[in-house]
Amino acid sequence: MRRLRYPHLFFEVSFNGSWAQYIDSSVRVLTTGMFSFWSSSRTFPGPLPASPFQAFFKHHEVDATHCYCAYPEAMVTMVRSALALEQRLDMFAHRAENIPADRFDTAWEAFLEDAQEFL
Amino acid sequence: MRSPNIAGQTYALMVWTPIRPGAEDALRAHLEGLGHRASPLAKLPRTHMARWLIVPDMPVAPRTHARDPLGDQYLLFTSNFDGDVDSYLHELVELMAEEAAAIWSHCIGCPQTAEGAALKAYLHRNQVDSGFAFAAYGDASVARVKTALDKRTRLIDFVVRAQEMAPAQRRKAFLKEFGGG
Repeated sequence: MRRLRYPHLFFEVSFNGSWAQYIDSSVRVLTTGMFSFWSSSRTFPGPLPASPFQAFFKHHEVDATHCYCAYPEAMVTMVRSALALEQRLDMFAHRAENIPADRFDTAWEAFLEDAQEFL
Repeated sequence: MRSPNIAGQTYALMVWTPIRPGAEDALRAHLEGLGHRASPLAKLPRTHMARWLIVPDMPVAPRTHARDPLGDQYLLFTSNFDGDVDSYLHELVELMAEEAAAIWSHCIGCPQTAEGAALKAYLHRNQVDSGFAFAAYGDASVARVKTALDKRTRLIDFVVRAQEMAPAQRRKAFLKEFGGG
């Protein structure tokens, strides 16, 4: 085993979609934040323009040999929606037990309107 | 002080272990042969996401002279899971004992009998702390995420079916599907 000459920054991330989309959107959202994370790294070209930054990332990337996700079919937005929806659904299900049959449809439609953005 | 490995109730674990010279290809072949659907990591129900990487060397950017050879190749294991690291490593060496032994026995310093408390201590010893950890839904456990995803799928299906139901039937069917919780 060898003692390294420099400290190395290790960045690990799991995301949805393509590699290029992820890097591109990260740069757009976190333009100044990127300096905080990477400006201490040798050869960091700055987040913009995107092309040298993408090349910097690509060059330092190490592929996973085996990876696992407990719910591989779900995107982050889907998980967040499902978690927000669950709270509303559980509350409505609890309330529905006391809603008379002739008023259920009105309550059901109001629930769907509230929950629509999470479906 | 709060551990830098924690985001919400999830823990970001990172373990670096040097691979025995000459064992790199066998370990890579073993890991690549694990497949994805039948991953041994599915035996650890608190695991959100995890991976093994073989790091052959530290990358060096083009046109620089900042080479920093790693020496040996390293096996990097990372996992994001619910709860504390001590009980997770205990589960790892117990619930996927055979698979863990088959992987880390390729590494320098791994106990000759790669199992139980000795393997757990080896993994603990080779842990590297995060500087910063982030989780998009760090307060939700694996079980809660799976339940919520399942309910969302069932509700979407129910909404479609409910359109064909008579009003009285709709309430009854809804309570049958989602009530009693």
